[in-house]
Amino acid sequence: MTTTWMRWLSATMATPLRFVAFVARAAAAALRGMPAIDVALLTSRLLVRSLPIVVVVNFFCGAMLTVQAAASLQIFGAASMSGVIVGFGGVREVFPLLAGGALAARSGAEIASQLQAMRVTRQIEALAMMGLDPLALLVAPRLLACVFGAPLCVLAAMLAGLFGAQAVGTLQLGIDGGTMWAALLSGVSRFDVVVGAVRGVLLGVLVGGVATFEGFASGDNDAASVGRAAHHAVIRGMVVVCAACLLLSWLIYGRHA
Amino acid sequence: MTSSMPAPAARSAAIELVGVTRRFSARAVLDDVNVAIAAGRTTVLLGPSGTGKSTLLRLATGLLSPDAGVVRTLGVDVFAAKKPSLLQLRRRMGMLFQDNALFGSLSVFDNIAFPLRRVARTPEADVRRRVDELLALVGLSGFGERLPDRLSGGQRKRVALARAIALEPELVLFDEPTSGLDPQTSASIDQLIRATQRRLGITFVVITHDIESAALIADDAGLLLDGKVHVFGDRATVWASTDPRVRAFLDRAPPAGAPR
Repeated sequence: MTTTWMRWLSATMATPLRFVAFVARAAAAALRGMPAIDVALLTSRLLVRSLPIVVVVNFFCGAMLTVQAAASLQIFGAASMSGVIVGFGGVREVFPLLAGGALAARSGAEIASQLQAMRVTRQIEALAMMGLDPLALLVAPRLLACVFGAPLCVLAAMLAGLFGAQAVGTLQLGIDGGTMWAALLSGVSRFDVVVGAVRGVLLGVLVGGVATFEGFASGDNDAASVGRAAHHAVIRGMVVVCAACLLLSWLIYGRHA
Repeated sequence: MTSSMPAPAARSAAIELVGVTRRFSARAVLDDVNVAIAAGRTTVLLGPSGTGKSTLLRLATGLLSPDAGVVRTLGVDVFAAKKPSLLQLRRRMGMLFQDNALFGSLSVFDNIAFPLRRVARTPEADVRRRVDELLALVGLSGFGERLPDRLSGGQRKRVALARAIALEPELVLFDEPTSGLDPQTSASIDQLIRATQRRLGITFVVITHDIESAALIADDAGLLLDGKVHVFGDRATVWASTDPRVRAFLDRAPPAGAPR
């Protein structure tokens, strides 16, 4: 019985442990230094690709949250205060979560499929054969690009969500613009924005870590593995984003609500 | 000579395998292999598909590790070496992959310049001069600005060769260099390999199952069968072998029981 449990535990923990070791090695490679231009180019590419989707998704999400908040507060005749709920729950939870999901879906999938395609076409082996360290050359700069880019995505998501709420509040629900904006901001503190940026760094490590792990370390060499790597980067990326957001919420807001 | 005996190392060995075994799952792809590949010559390793030729190359470069035995490449014990020493060793080698492994987003020029810029940190003026030299050597002057996917299979192979020798390695490994090429292009690649080896005087190790190609470029040859080096020696000796399995491979006799 004990042996069965041990076997189950080691099989279950093998991939997470490999993942942690992989990210630690990539982080160590990043600390050893790399061309800043590579990181800058990758970060700007990540922002160009991911920011539009992050902004669009969160704008609509802010708008939808406002509609639902207004519908429920209408019962108490307080629809004009719907901004408080959107500002409070959106900025603290929903917008960063959606930013992480959009980042995993857009840039995570791209990073994973790019690295796996390089694996399949032996380009990674070619780099190794030149005496270069592919982990330092390919993985570390992509991981850093995610770490630098994700906080900006989270902050952009917060702003887009608030603007979406403001747009619906004023244009559809007829709430006064000043009242709506004041209600939205009343739910947001400077602490929330700082937590959002920190959460962005963590989401960057997770999304970037999962994407590079799926693309670089899967060990598969068949053509279908490129699609598999992208698929895993999105699904697993979103799962870890959700889990991390839940954990952070509990750690930070569970005590300071 | 048969597999259980190491090859005579009259010249210094560029690659030496001693008692090397490598398994994939339960199957031993290489089984107690002993072989010494002489420096400064072109050695061709022949064998049917799945007999461990590519595995042997990957062991020699440290891209794979053996389950047993010792692999020494350019005098370095590959699996006792720490990572910096292994990276240093690989800088003394070049490899031409079966599918070329060119960087698709980089031009021909930038592909060849890549190891010069990233590994050797060569000044840009010298990079241009060296890449132009290499393009001329492989017969692709004027192709520098093209992307790899705008080239034919033979041209891509030439670019891969130019990149593999860019850092002036002591040893170049070729994984099925004529695979997927038409006979005329294959012959031109064979000639290029032969001419380049003569010109540079370095060690070339080629794995292939193309017997015509092997006959043209080999100084030494070995035949891998059932995970062992079945025969190894200079080309004339191997081609004159009367061993029935060697003859069957070289004469392209279909295996017994193969459908007609």
